[in-house]
Amino acid sequence: MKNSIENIVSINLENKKVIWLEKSNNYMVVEKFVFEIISKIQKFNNSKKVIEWISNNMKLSNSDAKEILNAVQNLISVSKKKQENIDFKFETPTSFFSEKYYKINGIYFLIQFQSEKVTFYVHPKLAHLEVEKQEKIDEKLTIFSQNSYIILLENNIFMDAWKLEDFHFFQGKLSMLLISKAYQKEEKDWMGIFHASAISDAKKAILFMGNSGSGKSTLSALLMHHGFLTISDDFVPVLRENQHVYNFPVGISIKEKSVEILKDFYPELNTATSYNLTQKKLVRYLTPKKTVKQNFPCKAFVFVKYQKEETSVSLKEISKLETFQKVIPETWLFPSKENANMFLNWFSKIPCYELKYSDNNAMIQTVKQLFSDEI
Amino acid sequence: MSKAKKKTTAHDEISRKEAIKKIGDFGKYAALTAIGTTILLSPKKAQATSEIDPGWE
Repeated sequence: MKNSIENIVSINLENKKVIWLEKSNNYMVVEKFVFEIISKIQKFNNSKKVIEWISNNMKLSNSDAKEILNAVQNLISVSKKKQENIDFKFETPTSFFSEKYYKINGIYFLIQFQSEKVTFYVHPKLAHLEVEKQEKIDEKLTIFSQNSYIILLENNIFMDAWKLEDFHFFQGKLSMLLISKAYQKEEKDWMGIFHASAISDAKKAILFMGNSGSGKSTLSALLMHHGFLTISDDFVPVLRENQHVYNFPVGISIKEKSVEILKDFYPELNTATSYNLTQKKLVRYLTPKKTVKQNFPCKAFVFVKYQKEETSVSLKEISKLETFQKVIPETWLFPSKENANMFLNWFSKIPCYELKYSDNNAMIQTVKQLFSDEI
Repeated sequence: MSKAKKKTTAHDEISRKEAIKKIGDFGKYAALTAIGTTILLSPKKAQATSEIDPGWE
């Protein structure tokens, strides 16, 4: 048989089948009969038997059945790309531009920054969590750049190195380390990391998603002013054990154009430092409110779009399949059979909405209704 | 008027089974087309934040 299949996980989503393939860690949306054929490939592990099955069940000649089998096998033959191994020597710096102490969920971190530039790109989001120098720390992280790589050490042990164009993956790993240590978990304990803003009414959380510039962070800040909690902005961790969304209290990045909208609610934004993260992205950071509870079940996924000159607000339930296709490429999911199974089941039970708004107050009222089940 | 219209529609409708029978030899092409609609989705290869470009040397 051309391809044997190690492990697959599947679920019905609307009129299709969603499957996860272990070898490639890919998710596929397929017609149900395609899934049937894949199941038979897995069950029989014998081309002749599968062709016979296709021929009998789809009333096709043997040669046509063979053609169908080939087409299905091509679908699942995406092999796992080998990860590029970085092989170089580095020297751990002996002096640092800055050494800062932070406290997250009662855990003390020391982060050593080799240069001003490294400090500039990491510290501002964490600045409100900074504490004075501690005698005893729980975790030491060291960040430096060398040979066009950014390097991260955890308690003096090499974690990984990233090319500078992959800086967002370095930040992702750093966030993962902080969140895991803060909640005494390991990377494998997390179901996934979602690219969203997670808002809570102190009971449940809603994940607001959308393209860059869709107004996620502005919406978070507005909702926070109206009594909601921003439990995570941009990097939303969900734990597999309870499928809860966890609080990651980093600063909410507010783009310059949103400062105008928000400065009446948050006068501190007027004097907050602006950081030029890219040529186009000038941001200021807003401190999230402290939460008592650290984790919340997920109530809904909401795709948000700020649309000037449209109706004041509209909220409609959207297809789960459509949402799934938008969510997966933006999400990190721990690659294991157990996790894929858990994720697909969890996802299939969460309602998905699209929220378009031009009027902030109308949007806030709609989100309040959504939280209180009035929609 | 509406009754007549209804009658015509009923006459034009065929069952799924009949439709499959009518397709006959085209079954293979219909299946290949359906296989072609498969959507492949890759999650992120590692945890990431929103992209920023430090623009270092």
